[in-house]
Amino acid sequence: MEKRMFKLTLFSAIIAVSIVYLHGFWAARDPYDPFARKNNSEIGSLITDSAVELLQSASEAFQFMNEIEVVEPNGLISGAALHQVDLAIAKVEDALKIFNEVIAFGSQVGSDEGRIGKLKAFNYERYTRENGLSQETMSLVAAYLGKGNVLGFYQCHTGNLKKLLHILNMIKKDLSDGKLSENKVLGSLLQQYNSTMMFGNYASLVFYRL
Amino acid sequence: MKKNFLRLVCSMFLIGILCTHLNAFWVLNDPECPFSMARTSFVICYSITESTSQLLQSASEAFLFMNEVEIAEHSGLNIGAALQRIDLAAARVEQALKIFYEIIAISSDASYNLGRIGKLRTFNYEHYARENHLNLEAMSQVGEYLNKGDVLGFYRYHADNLEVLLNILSQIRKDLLAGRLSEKKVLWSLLQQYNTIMTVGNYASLVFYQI
Repeated sequence: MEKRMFKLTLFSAIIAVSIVYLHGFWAARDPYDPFARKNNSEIGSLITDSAVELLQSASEAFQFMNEIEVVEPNGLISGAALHQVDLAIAKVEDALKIFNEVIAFGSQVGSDEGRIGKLKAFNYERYTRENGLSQETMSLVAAYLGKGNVLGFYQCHTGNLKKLLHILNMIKKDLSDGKLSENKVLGSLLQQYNSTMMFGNYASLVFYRL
Repeated sequence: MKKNFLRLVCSMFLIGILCTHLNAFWVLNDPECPFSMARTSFVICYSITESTSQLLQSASEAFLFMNEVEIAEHSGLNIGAALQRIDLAAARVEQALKIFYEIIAISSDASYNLGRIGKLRTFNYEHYARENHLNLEAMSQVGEYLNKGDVLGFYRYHADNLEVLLNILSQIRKDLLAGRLSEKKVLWSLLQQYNTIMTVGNYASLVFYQI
């Protein structure tokens, strides 16, 4: 009786874990975790943590954009703007730190050859066309995943996060000096969030499709 | 004396409002406010800023909703929290859309500055996008309207995009009310639609600021 109860509990736990894992999927997440050894769920969990930080950072950054949408040129910038940028920076720093761990982890464990084979054989162009997606963004993703280079893709994602951090730090520095960054810098903030998230999201689309 | 003082305060206030909105530039803003009548220009530019502000706040809420979905991995989905985020995001988009319908109605009756239209027609969209490492596909969507000087058409296109976004949010809301999360395709389309609207709108602003 006890044994059956244990089996039932274990079975329920496994089902619960698999359902729960279906949710983490906004950016760069492969639901099957294409690494060779048993650290898969740990890597998947780290990617989810990083995506959480990025989404929270984006939320703060968009509040900041709203703050300056109505600001007076060369006028008073509210303390809220600096606070929002500070929070956005802290979140991107966390996302980056976590992703560096993912890369270190992934480098050690190697890849699942079956999964890599699927990534190589996937028709990125057709999938993009059929789903009305951006060919330009998907071609950036395919440049890595089409070669089965998951780690290279992760490294590119961290490169995107670093760019984002750089832009946020420039804005923070200007705000600390009591001025608003030039329009080109501010515009690049929106663009970098969009491109970072779309790059990750398109990869997720592929991973979930395989 | 009192009357003069009141006039001075009023004009300072109006100048203040005007300056306040000159810096607005995330989505669709034209710094020249190029309608032939000054008052129409002011109303339209002010409204675009208002609509953009609503859209940015909506995106901020939507990212927090996506965050709720993402952390569901660890703790299960908090339907109440997710629903609250979606409700706020949808309300903001509804407001942004309402304002944009007003913009379209006003600008339908107003004529756009011909010199400005000429500049939009001669602008090299592809060259600018390449030089500034922008997404060529998004810029070509902008160019499709602005290249013909069809600013009103571009406003309508933006309103259509907002409607699509609102439909996605409504679908997600409906599913949450039924106690479930929408299918992945719908959830992904939310992020993609925000990205499309923001990118296309922002590129239009870049063009307006460049010419």
